[in-house]
Amino acid sequence: MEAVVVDAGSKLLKAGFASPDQDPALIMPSKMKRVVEDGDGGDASMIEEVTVDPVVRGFIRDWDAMEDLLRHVLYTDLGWEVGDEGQILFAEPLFTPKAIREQLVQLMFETFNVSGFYASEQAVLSLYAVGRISGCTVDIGHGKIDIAPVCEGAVQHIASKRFQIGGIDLTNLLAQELRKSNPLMNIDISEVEKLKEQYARCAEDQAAFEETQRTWPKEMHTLPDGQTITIGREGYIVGEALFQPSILGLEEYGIVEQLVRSISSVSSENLRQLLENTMLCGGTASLSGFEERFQKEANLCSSSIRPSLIKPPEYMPENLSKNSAWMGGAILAKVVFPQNQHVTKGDYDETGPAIVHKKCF
Amino acid sequence: MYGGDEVSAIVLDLGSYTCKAGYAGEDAPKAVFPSVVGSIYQAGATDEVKHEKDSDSMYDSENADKTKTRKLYVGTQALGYRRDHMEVISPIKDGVVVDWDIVDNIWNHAFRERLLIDPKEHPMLLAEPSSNTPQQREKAAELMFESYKVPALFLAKNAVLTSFASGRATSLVVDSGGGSTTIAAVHDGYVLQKVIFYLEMSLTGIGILPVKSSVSKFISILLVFFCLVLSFSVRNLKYTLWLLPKHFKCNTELGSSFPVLRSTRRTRAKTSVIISLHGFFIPIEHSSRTAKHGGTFEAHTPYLCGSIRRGTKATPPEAVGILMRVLSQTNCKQLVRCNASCPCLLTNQSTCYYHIEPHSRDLLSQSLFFAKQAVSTSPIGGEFLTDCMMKSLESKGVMIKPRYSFKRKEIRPGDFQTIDLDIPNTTESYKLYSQRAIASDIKESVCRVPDTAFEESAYANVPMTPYELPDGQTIEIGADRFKVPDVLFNPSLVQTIPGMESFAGFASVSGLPQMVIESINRCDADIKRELFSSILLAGGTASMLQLKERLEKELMEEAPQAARVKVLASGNSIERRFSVWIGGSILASLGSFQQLWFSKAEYEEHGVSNIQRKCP
Repeated sequence: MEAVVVDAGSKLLKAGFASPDQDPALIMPSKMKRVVEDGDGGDASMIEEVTVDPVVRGFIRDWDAMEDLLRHVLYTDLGWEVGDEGQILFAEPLFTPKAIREQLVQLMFETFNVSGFYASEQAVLSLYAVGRISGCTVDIGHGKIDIAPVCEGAVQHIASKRFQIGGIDLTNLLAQELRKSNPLMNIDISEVEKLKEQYARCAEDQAAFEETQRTWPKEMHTLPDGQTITIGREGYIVGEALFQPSILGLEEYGIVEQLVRSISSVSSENLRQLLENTMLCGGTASLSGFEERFQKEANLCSSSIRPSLIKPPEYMPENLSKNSAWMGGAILAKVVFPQNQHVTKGDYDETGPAIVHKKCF
Repeated sequence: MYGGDEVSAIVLDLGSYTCKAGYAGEDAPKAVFPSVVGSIYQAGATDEVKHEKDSDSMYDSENADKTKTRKLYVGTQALGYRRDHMEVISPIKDGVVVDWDIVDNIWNHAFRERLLIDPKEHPMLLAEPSSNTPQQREKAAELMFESYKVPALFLAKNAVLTSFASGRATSLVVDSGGGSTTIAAVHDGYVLQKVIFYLEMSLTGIGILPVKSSVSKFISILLVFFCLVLSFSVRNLKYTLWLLPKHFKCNTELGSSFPVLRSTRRTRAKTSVIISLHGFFIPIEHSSRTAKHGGTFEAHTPYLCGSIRRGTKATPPEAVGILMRVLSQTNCKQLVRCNASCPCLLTNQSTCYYHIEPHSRDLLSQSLFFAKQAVSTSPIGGEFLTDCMMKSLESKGVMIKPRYSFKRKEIRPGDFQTIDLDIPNTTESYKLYSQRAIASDIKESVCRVPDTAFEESAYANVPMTPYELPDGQTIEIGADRFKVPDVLFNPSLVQTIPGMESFAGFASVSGLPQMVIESINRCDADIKRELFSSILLAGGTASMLQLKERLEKELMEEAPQAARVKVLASGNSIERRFSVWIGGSILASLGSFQQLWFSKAEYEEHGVSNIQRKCP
């Protein structure tokens, strides 16, 4: 049986059997609804629904919810059988605290009784997906942005950066802007999420952005409940926010500048190789116009070496940037598990959760 | 106490240039960021509009002056963003922490924003400068326990950790970091902080007066004992005479028999006697051999001791004067005032006067002890060399533009132009900080230590190396490549760099090889050989190319013939830069180290001064 690769993101959970050059079998939102029933059953109508996010800003925070989610994914969707669990590979974000890793491996071995476990960082996996072992990844996810230089498969932690902004903040920004322009409408946040995916785009460059702010392009959109709203320049604002974080209210430089500055602390021999192999991944990076804008900004940044984006290989599916971590995980799973470099049940029983730091890096 | 396996200690090294933090057991720190912070003073206690996202490293802090609040920005991200009126300040001046509030913020940033841990759950290993004062240590311990509530703490000296990182217990550590260069000798895992010197001793005979009274009898027996001690070889004498008061343990279980002055294993490398105004102290190490000669002693046996007042650095002439004064004071037979319950426990305040016979007075006056600082520091460090490079480039007309001060515009497709931005309200200190960042990158990538001493004429025609600045201009660096690193070996070169005349005082500082030789000479003769053959290089500046070879060459010329000089440095530049941190990581993950932690319970019970004893 193939190993299972799981990439638990803040918004979407990607899971499936390890088959490289294919999309993950399962892409589902990781948001869950907790159904709370009143214990006595006296008043059966008092059922509340609370939305629960097991993964916040990239890290697993709600372990019970995560357990339920994984149980559903592994047993129901992927078809594992109790008693015959296989091997599992997790993709985790940068700077995962040691405690979270240990808890995850404990959950896997004790609750799910897997036969083998491996964890790797998303930055490295994304590079494997495009067939490289060195380069820079800019992972713009729903909950966080990770900028990581990777040299020969090892993430240079000293030069890496993590930002607590992501798709979710862009959604909030869009909601805020829509409220300003459509003051009478009350739009649900999940709707705003869909609107963002449809209408957000990046202007060609800063001058073009300022154009749109002046000319106010408008489009009409009909919401499911029948109301119509106008949306146009708000979409551009959302796209611009990554390049000018002052829109989000942050005192930071744009993403390209951040990339260049954080990479500059790596020794200069590798600098050229890293910057010229930059990879964009993550859901938010698939904003329309983002890549072109990124490339353009790269030419204007304050560094002698300009970052340039790499082209994914042709045999990879279309939506590579969204699921690159998962695909890289699939590639890695094919290498790690047959060669027995993973954490086995025997290892875990012997050493305890701390084994994960020694074997998985 | 803590078991070795489950404990995930955190190792924290706050240097003068960068702060390194990470988990113990790993081979490199996870968080490395500058140890300077940006601060903006706001007049009046206005409420700042809090940002929605807390991705900035902002931390409100109140100044002592209540009318102005100060906002601090810690970390590469926050410091890298240019803000109006933001000054760059450092908490450390001359190796001593002056602003503990900033240090608090730095630690908070390291724990909460870089490592993402809760300090309550992890023991902390702090690396401290080799010549740290007790007050600083106590303050650091207080801060850790009170505001971060760590479960356990240990303070280790930088030199010791570097020694561990290389796997040696005895070595001379040359730590050349950002702010300064420190040379310290480590022996058996302890820094030789004060080395005892003594002049020639000539042993005249000690007469034992036949005495009738029991007190005098004991004294005379003690004098014999002392004589025997003195008659040991020089080395033994020194070691037996080195004892820390805190390592004296009164073995009260033995009852009223001779209170065993048992020193722990750690006698060797610690601070020892300093002649104080009250007297001088000859610590006596009780070994089973000498006890046999002495017989049984009463609990109130007087000792030949004076009081210890730390911190007095007496030079030889002074020491003689003090000693004479003391001896004359005790002309009369002043009996010892001993603490009957525990006469051997000598603390800083204990004063016991001794009763000495005329014979021994002469003898003792010939043996002078004075202490000298064995840890030497020089203000020439990486930052100083960066300044030299910057001034040298400026004098050649190269303007280093900080990253925030220009913008590139695309005039036509494919054609770019750099435009200078005029940004008022940027402070000088921030501009200097940004320029230094670029200059230090230049220094790290092109500089090399020359094979021989630098001379203008020899290097006038050296081929130039190109370097591209962030704003696109390419500069050529020639002789400076070799001149700047040579300042380490020959500080008087500073005067030849235009713009650095204000540092003319540095010209009197000795160069690196001289400092190394001086340090080794201050130590014992027997460990000198060992020190010569294990000189360790650590610190960012020490990872300059060819430094090891040049230092070895210079030392071989100046060292005594018999000594075998070997300078060791790990080949990997990351390891050299972080060798202190790596040593801490090794130390904190050893199983045998786990019982040495200074725990919170101990802190609450005994107070903070116990840290001096627990963390040597």
